[in-house]
Amino acid sequence: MIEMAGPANRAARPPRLFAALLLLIGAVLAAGGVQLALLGGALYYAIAGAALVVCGILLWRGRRMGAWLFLLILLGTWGWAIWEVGLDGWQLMPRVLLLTVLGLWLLMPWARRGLL
Amino acid sequence: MRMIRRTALAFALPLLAASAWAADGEWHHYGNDLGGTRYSPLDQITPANVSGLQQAWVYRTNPGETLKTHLQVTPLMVGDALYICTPSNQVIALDAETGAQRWRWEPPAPNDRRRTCRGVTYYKVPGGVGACAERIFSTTARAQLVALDARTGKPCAGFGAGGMVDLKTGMGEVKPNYYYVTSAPVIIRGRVVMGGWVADNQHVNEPPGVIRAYDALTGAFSWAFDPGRPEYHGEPLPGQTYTLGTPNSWAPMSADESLGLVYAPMGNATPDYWGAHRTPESEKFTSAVLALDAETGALRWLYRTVHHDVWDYDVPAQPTLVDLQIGGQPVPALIQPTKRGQVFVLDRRTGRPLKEVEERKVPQGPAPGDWLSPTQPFSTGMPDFTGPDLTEKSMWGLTPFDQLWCRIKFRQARYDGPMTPPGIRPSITHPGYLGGIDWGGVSVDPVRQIMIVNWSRMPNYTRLIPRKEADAMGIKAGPMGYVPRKAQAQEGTPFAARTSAFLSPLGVPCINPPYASLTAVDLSTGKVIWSGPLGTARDNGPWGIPSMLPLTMGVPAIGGSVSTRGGLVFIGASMERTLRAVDQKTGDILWKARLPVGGHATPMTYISPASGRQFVVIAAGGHMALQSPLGDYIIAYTLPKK
Repeated sequence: MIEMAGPANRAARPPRLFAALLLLIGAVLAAGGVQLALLGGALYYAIAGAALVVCGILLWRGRRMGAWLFLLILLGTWGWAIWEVGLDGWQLMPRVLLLTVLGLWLLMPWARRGLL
Repeated sequence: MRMIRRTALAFALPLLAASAWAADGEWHHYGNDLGGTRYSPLDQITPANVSGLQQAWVYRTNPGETLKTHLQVTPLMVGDALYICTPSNQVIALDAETGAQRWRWEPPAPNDRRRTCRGVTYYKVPGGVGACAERIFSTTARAQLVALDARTGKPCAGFGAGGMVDLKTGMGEVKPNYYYVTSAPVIIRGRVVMGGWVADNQHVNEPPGVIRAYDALTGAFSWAFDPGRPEYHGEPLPGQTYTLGTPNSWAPMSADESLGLVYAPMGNATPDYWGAHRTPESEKFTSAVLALDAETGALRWLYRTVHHDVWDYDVPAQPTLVDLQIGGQPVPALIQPTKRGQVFVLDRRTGRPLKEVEERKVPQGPAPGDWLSPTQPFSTGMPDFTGPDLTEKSMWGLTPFDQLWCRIKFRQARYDGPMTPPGIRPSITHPGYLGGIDWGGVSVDPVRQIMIVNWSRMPNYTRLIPRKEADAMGIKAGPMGYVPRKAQAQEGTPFAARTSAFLSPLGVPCINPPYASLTAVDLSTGKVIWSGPLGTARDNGPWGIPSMLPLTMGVPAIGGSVSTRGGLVFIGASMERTLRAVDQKTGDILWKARLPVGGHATPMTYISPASGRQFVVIAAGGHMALQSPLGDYIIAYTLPKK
């Protein structure tokens, strides 16, 4: 696949818009998360925010590793959310909904195609 | 019961029997009876047939007008007419069968002020004949008490001056919108008794919190209870006033005709959030329920639900009077719901608790210059209507971003559980100023001994602003509307105060749902029978945009319930624009009707003599503080004719 990827590569560029979105989300969560951690609050936001920034950079460069990291963040987020609030739908919503929707998008063929 | 009544009907004189039936199906007081049970002995509508309930009519009180505040009225029903008041001071009589307007009283011009009006008061003059033998009392935003002929709506010439009594007499300078009556007065032993609403948090020495009684026939002054001068029951001498800045009674009162007592729920001496300036008398009567002699105004007993209130935990709900079965004996009780979510059950003869109350240690560390009570009363013999204490985990939001924002706000604030005092550092007051339980109070089925409680979970986020900073921000005392997001001046104290519901930047609550619940309590055991969230999310969403999600969430609510012998509880209250019929036994919602705007009022029910059918009526008026859109609808429902 890689050898014959000359023209195909141009058609399947790295998902940069998506990567930029993750960078932005990650930066906001990391900044707020550090503030929260310094106030003695949950560490999740600082960690998840930083990881999303790394994830965004990897995806910007078209690295498949970025998708795996995203999966890890998503699983971690679900684990943390269930640990915090159990299976209460209204309380899970703000914790997992956004990243789950983004994860579904990443599973789509057109998103995967651009990753090495 | 039904058998007995039928037998009585067969044997009694037809006229007599007809009047007994009619009296059964009417609604003569704000809470149906003087004791505010909000219980109806009607049983035509039952869990078995309620699904057939249909809209009968709609009446609009002020069509075409730009509404400035909410319609919050519970109509009265007497004879074959309904009586209501509007926020713009009209009093209106409607045909109970059709909703057609019978008469409409407009206050003397100019009618440019608005205020909440929860209901009017009906009085039948003993032995009276002709005009004003039956009368309707209401009040205006200019603090006037008016008596109208129930048949024609014409002011009663023999009452006060041209049908009106000026309630500003003896009150000192009453600036516009600083004092008026929002709840229906009560009538006991021929006297019209009322307190009044006073603007919150503008300055010290606001209008007096005095409670007054006037002769229901002539409007002559009868007595006053001045919390600043509790032994003196006369009018102030010329040049003097009732004591300024005292705790007021804005919520509906109740009364016991046989004991000759009127029960007044009290607020606190405004300003609310800093209180070192308050006098010993103000401290004594703050956030209490008082029993006053209906003929003299003398204090018989008092029960204080908060010591030194710096949370705006004034007693907002009508005391509900019910005879409880205790050890096989009926005991005259008074149930006092509070914003704190504590429901106190007292002996209404003495004010002594019938269910255990514990003085518990509460957080200390007052605002600079203020003080705190080391303990506060907790009604441990009754269920608690506050829900679990808050933690960072209980913060909410629609997205990770506003949830993070709420968590940061939570960590920045002081929160040490119930009764965390306000300070310069922000603090979280939970429950907030909407309750717990607000003016909707509770409804009680005295036969089944079941209490229905609709209660909220909505914290306030509060910060005291030092005077210099407040001056620099331009915060000044001013005429009062609902300005929840703006700081309030509290002039005359060292601090202004900023307080509002604890919301995220998306305008959704910072704590997880439910925000409103409906609970049934067995009064004999004090145990919860059933409980659940009230209202779906369909009319709520970020920035007030409806989400359309038909998922039960327990959205914010203000209003009250009605319990019926038929075994149903009727309640609107919720921001979900719905009137519901709930099975009193199980809590299941058996019937729902879509309202044009939120029904933030207590419904009522009656039998219309024209068709013999039971009607249920609710005002759909929206609510300012909830940012629930306004409306002017009175809507009636009934079973279709057979």
